[in-house]
Amino acid sequence: MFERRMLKNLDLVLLLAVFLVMAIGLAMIASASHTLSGNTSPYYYVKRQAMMMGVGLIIMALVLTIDYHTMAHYAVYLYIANIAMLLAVLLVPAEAKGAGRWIDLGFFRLQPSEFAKVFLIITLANFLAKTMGDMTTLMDLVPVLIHVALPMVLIMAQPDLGTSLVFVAILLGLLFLTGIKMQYIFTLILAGGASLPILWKYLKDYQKNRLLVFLDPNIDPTGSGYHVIQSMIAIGSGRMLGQGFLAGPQNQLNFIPEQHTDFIYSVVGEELGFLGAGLLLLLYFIIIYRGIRIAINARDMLGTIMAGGVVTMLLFQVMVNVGMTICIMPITGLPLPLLSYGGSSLLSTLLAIGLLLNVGMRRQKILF
Amino acid sequence: MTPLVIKRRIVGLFLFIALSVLALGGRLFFLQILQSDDYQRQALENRLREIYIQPTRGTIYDREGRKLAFDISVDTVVANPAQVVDKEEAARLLAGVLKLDAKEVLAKLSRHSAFEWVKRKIDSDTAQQIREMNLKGIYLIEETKRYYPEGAVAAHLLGFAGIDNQGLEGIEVTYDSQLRGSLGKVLGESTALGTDIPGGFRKYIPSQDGHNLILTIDKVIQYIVERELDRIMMEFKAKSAVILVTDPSTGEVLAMGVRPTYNPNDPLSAADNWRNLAIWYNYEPGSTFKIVTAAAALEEGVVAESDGFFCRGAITVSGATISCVAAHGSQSLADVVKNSCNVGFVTIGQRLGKDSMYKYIEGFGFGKPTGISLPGEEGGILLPASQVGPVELANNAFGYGVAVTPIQMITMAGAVANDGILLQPQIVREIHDHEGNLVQAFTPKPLGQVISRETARQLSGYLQLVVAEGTGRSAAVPGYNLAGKTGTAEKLEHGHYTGDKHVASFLGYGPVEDPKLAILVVVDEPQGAYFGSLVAAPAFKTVMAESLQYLGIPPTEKIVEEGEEVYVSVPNVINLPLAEAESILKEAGLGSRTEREGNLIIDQMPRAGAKVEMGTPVILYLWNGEEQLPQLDDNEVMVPNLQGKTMREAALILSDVDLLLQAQGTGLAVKQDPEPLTVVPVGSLVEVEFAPPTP
Repeated sequence: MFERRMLKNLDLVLLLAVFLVMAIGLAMIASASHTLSGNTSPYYYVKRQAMMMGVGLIIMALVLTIDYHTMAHYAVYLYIANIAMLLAVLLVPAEAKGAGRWIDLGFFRLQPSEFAKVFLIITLANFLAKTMGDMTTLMDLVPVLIHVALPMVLIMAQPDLGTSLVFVAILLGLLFLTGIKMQYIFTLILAGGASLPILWKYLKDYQKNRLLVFLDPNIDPTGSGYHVIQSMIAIGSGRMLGQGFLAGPQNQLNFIPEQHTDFIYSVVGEELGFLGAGLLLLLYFIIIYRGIRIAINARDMLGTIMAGGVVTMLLFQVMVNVGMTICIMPITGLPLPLLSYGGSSLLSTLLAIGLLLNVGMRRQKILF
Repeated sequence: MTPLVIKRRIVGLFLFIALSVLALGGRLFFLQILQSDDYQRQALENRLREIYIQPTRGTIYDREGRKLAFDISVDTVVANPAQVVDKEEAARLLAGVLKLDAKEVLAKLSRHSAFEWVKRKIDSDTAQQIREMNLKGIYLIEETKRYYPEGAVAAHLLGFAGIDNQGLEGIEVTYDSQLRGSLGKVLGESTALGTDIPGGFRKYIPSQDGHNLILTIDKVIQYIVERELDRIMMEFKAKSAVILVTDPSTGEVLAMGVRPTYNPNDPLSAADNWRNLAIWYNYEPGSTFKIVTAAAALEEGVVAESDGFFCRGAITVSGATISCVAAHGSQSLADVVKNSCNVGFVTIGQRLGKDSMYKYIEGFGFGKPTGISLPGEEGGILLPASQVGPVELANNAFGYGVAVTPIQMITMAGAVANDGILLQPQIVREIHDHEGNLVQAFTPKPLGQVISRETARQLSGYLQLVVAEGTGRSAAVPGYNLAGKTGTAEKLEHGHYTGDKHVASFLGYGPVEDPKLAILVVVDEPQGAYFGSLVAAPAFKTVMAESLQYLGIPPTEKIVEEGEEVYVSVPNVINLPLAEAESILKEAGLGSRTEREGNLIIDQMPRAGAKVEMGTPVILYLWNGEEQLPQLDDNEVMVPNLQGKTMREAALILSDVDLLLQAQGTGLAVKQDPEPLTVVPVGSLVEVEFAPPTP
């Protein structure tokens, strides 16, 4: 059910910030990818990304027409679809950089784990909104944990450590917002911390290296530490105003690895300087801040939790990705929402924004 | 409306978000504003690539300008990992051809760098295989490798250089800083993939080639020494052997040969043999040391020409009995030296006393290194004077209870030959820069007058008798007056004399009137014969005779024809096939010995025209037609017309212009390739077809 007057509740500030970030993203992808070899057109990546933005905006618009309560109503099916999709990746793996994360659709390589995050927000919000009043003991958390663990384990098996960490962030964020006792949350964090040494055993060598290198990039400056060192050099040499669009040597001469995807923020730092990188952070802050507003003003607890989930997801990804480029976070291979090149990430982020706007639009009870 | 607790939580989340964003912003400020200078510098260094240009290491020549060591070009495999497309496949292929571990190669190809060594200094066949594989991101670059054209000849003196052209042994170490030169480099901006940035920053610093060394060594004498050493090792199955040849008037070392040896082109295959025994080996000299005792006694005036000595075959000193090879009976001083009489020398030592004896032992340079410019020199062993009693003194008098090095012994003999003036042994004559300008010239370095000219001459006279009539008769060279002394020392092991292990030696010089050569032969643990007169003296004789001949020093006395010993002139056999050469040499009354594998003779020693004793083997250096001949320079020559020439004539004509003959058939030349008047590089092969002349 969609009413024209809901449109006046649409958060235009948030939408504007999203458009600005995507515009900066297009420009940066252009700068980062026009020298990459292997494609005939220097604008190959920009074109694809722009096309995905179009698709993403249409999906977002469609999401707005469906009341989030309706989505929650079908949460069980959504959950099943989510699991099925993730299983599919494991069964039909396509090798790419040591991790089979895609389903190749020919024109587009779908990365189910990206969408799984948004689906989890919907299904978990539904679950929590229904049960939050009953959660009084630690044991009551067990169903919640299982709810999250099932898709998370499938993602870890791909292996995709970064995205599984987003799941943890969403879980903690939503538990926090449902108001359960803080000591439960701390208990969970402690339990997680205690299981780290066990997890360490199951990490691949490259994942261990990434964590070790985070502690000291110089232990392997031409190997695992290379990404971080080159990224910091790029950002550091950007200074206040940056080296200028298309003029950052670290980017243009390919010293920054993955400069159009995971390390796009390094290009921003180098070419647009502290001003550009700071402005971008400000835009993210505006998006997240507007998301918080939507959460607080939501019509019901379901809306609050859903919006909070989107906010948590965005915050976590921005923190981890930007933090990685300036060496205050380890390398996890998480893209920067709305900025990094990559269709699945862009679509799922726009889907999440759509969810946010959806909750915001329906903040008032509608009188018939 | 949302409950209050939830609202609080949301505000809490907001605060957390605000703090997080502030943290990121703060970090950005730190990197981009506070530390930006450092990062800008790093960014510049990142794309500045230094390419080093290796200088050519200086060439080492013998005293006549013949090359003993020089740099040749070889290929080295390097990779630019960023450009390698299929790293695993490339690693597998490279590892196969280069005989490396595929995992290690893959690790190198996986590094984030624009330059990795894969394998350095490979042979040309392997290089060709790599070239043909044509792998993306894998390159061959030119490097230089040290090449010793004569192989093991003078190996211990020359030493060798390592993979980075750094001197590791021998003269390559002592003069490393002069030989090495200085690195040049090209500085340039390049991308992460290692490609140059057009219009980027560039700077070129040229390399400085190393200095050339001109040694005191004479390659021909060195050859003679090497040949004699080979013979000694084969004949006496000795543990080791050393032959030293010096010019006593300058202290210059003309030849230094050591066995066992190694090939400096492949030093790792015989790493146990690197030690230069000529300067490192401490041994008890035995009778050769009596020269020192005699010199001291004459100079101190404790003996006179007319003194009489009586030998009963043994003498007792403080209860210790010292025996002689025979009871020499009544002897003059000359007889004592000539007979190498232990009893006589003990008596002389007693007359000298400890202090006088030590004055001359130390005066001749024993007990400390001579300072020759080679690494690893030992100084011999002298008992402290305070520990020397009558027995020790008696032992010293005939060459026991003291350890010396071969280089010390020949330096001492040189001083006696040089009218009593001790000269530091030298191995470098001149240092030139790479353009041939003189940088440094070395002059003889006198260390003092140890004995007077008169004493030296008198002693020479006695030592001449040793060769002419005494224990050193087998060292005599007809026509020349030579001075010398044999030595046969029992080896001391674990504090006891072994009785069956000996060091045989012969030390001498000549011609006595104007000494040109001093020669020391030391043979450690010869099997079968062990007397210096049997083991070392014949080698001394051969080296002395051939070297005097080579140096063109005329005999002082008419050669007394003894039996069939006649001298013949060596014919030219360069460029001829082996069988042909052997029959020509046989015809001339000479023997032959081959070096290396092959059929074509590319060099001979002695060279054509040299006068040698009949039956002397001529060393033939063969070439198998496959291995690369070192290109000495880029000069080009015109191929002469060989039509109608005999094989010998053709060989002579071609060797005149430094070309090689590849003969086919017999008779007269009918066809040649390349054609006459073609211009070809020096050292090229000319194929000539011979056919029997049609009547």
